[in-house]
Amino acid sequence: MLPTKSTFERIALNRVTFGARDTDVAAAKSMGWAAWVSEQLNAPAGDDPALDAHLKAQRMRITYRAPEPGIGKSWQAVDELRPLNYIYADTATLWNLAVNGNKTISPAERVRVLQEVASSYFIRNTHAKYQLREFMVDFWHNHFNIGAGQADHIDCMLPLYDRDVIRPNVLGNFRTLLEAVAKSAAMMFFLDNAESNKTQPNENFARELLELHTVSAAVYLGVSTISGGKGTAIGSNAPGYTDQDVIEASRALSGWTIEFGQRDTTGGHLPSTGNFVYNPAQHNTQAKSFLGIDLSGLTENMQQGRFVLDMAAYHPATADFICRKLAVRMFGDQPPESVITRAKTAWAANTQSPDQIKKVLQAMLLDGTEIGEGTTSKVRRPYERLVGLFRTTDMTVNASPFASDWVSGMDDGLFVWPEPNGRPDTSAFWLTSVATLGSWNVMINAPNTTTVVTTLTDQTPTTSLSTAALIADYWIGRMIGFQPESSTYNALVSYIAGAGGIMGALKANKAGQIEIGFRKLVALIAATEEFTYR
Amino acid sequence: MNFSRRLLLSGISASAFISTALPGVRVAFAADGSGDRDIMVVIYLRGGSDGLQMVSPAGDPNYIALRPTIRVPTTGSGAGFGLSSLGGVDFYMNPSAPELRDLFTSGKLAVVHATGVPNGNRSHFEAQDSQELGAAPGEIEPDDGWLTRHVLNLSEDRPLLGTVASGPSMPNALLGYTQGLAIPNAETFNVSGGNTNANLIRSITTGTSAYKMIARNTLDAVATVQDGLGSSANDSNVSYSGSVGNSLKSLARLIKMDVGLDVATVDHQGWDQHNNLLTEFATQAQDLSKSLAAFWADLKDYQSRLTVVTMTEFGRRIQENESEGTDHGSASYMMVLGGATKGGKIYGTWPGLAASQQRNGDLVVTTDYRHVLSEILVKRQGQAKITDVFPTLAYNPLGILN
Repeated sequence: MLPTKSTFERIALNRVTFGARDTDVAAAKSMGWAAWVSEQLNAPAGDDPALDAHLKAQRMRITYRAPEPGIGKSWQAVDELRPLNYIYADTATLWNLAVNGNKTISPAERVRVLQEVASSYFIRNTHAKYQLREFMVDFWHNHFNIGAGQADHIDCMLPLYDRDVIRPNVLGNFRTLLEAVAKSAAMMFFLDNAESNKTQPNENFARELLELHTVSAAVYLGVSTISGGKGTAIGSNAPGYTDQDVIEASRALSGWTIEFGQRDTTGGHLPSTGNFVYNPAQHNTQAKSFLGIDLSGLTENMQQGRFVLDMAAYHPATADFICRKLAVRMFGDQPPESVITRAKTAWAANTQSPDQIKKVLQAMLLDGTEIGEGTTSKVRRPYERLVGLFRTTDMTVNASPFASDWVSGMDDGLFVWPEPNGRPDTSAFWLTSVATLGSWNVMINAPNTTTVVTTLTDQTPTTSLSTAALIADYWIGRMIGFQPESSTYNALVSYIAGAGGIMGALKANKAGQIEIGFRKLVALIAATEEFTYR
Repeated sequence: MNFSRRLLLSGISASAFISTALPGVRVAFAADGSGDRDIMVVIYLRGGSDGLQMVSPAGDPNYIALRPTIRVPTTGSGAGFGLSSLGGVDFYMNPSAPELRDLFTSGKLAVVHATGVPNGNRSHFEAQDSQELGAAPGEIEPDDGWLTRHVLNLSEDRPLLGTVASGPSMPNALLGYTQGLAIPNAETFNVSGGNTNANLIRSITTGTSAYKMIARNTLDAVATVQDGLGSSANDSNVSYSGSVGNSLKSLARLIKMDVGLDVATVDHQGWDQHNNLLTEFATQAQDLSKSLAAFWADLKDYQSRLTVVTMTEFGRRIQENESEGTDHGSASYMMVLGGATKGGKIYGTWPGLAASQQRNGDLVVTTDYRHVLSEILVKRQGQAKITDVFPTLAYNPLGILN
């Protein structure tokens, strides 16, 4: 018999991971929730050898032909099973791909970069031991969203964005993370700051820095030539920002760029390396004040830009915005205010701490019991449903050129949301015919591809094979953990017992049919309401 | 829509189907509720489409001075297509949009210039929300979309496929409307494994929660669309272009199924051209132009009751930036294509481009976007209570439509 209700640990785990497995629930129970959180937050770097080995063992085919002769292009034909080399590649290698312009490198190599980033992301989210960290990786990637497929300079630098910019900082200090993002080649080209200049700075990055990355549209006061700020110091509560502040921020941040061969101060050119550089030749010196504070005394290199980042990162509206967003990611559309309040307090008390974000998570997850209580009302987005299916059934995911495509038709493809705002994180956005139908289909199909390895028959205890109800109980227990609504439960049992179901295949003793029958069962369980909400 | 056929496909009895409906929740299965209402298609140009490039005051000396690199020329290579004048200024269609010029010339397409949110702001997401929820700045934003309020007012008995977002997600204009369906591609809108799997999923999603309702609507819609694919014609030798073309092509297919579809939305992404505008705008304009013309031709039997409108969250700064692009601005343009459109004319009030006529470097909004939308709703969609849709706007049509 299945329990009628979920447990504290299962609810809590589902709110901060890509899916609670039975083994996760048991571990959290035995060591205690606080110890589980602590282990996750204090994981030593590199301490996931199984995941690393799995990533290193990946071989993904790449095939392309040599170019036609006489069109100014030259490269060798390739047809090989290749490891995921680009996710470990250095800046020089990736930049070389970005600027080659199809002269000596096939465009298929750039496509390959994206395929590797998406595949490794899928694999990490599914198989990482430190799931809370993956949850935060996903949160920050969406917060600082970059849409691939819009320019080679963006796509080719994505491995660095994931590996060196986002991942090292997900539990660290927000101000540090913010500057790492601001200086990254991927963001620099995505929001045009790399091409901003002295005469008329490009406002794109400065605007989204304020609106999407820090203080948020909640304190945007509209088009005006007067600053919205009456700030007195960094961290003070200026009422908000206007377009004048956006313009001043864009001036302050002009000259922050990536070396791509542009003009320097001496009339020569900077090298083309893909590295961040401050180019004084393109720094606009007209910025007078930002959020009410005088900038004119800040004359050192990058000093004005850093001051803008300080003001934005330490503004109380940023704490409000991000702490609420994080709580919504965990709890759903109406997160408990008590959790948000604690998060904001921890955020403000630790703005200078190297582990500010870790402290915020501790306050949210450990200084109260909300995380394992209440109704599960967070709709899993299609990607989370698929990864949740893989995790709760111990399927093994391998690299695939199509990893991102599995969910891209549902507006949930990896690294391809086109706008800097990231995907909406509301229930209504995912309760649509597209997300619903698309999720069902990918959960039916993906386990039958060669990318995914399933061992569902072997995992089902022989003692559970005697009746349809026992089979249902075993897999519902693994994936949901409690008894679903009776009509749903009865329909699942009927499927197992009915024509084309598992009992018939077991009776006929056809191994292939049995495994396929189980795959359909777990896809159906993943299509229930009880699985769809976490 | 063939009601009995759909139930047959879904594999459950009529009584079981009806009994799942909540009191007050419309499970729509009317045969064809469209009556003589137009089919309205709302195309949203996401990112802020530059009205001074699309419908360009190309000969205006201020325009020429402020856009030295990216301007649309009036003569020579890459010249715009002369359209008509407004406020004494001649306007030119972007050279990448010859099909739109043709539709304009043939009287099917009208342009409204200097439209937008009066005193709006320059945030994409704020401006889009403001428009899609149908509020003006300073007003409290409603918690539902303007199209939601419209369709809820139209009929108690909307067809299942009456309201469709032709794309991968529902726009905020339909926020709060639980009966709307997002169908990115009619051809592939099916459950893997066909009826067997569809019926299994139906059996595990009986009930009335939000998820179960959308699950059931989806399954019903799949059955209807799959049924319709067999009996409707595919596109008739017209060439759509780009992702907006894919959306319009799929939408045309659904319309030709005669399933009561009369309100549809399409998103056209990618108009935020802060740099390299000349190249990127050309691609966008070409996709839109080719696809609108293809849609119009594809639906030749429906033209008399078809109205298409384009909108965007804002225009761009009048002066180009140093990256050969334009930053966020204020007023832009809307286009209205349809059988009842009094086209071949540019509507609105031209505010001018001189420094004294600008708003912080922007084109001033002289026509509230809601005036254009409300005229369509009242004249072509039978909206009897327009104040339910736009509560703070006095109905004041521009006379674009018959």
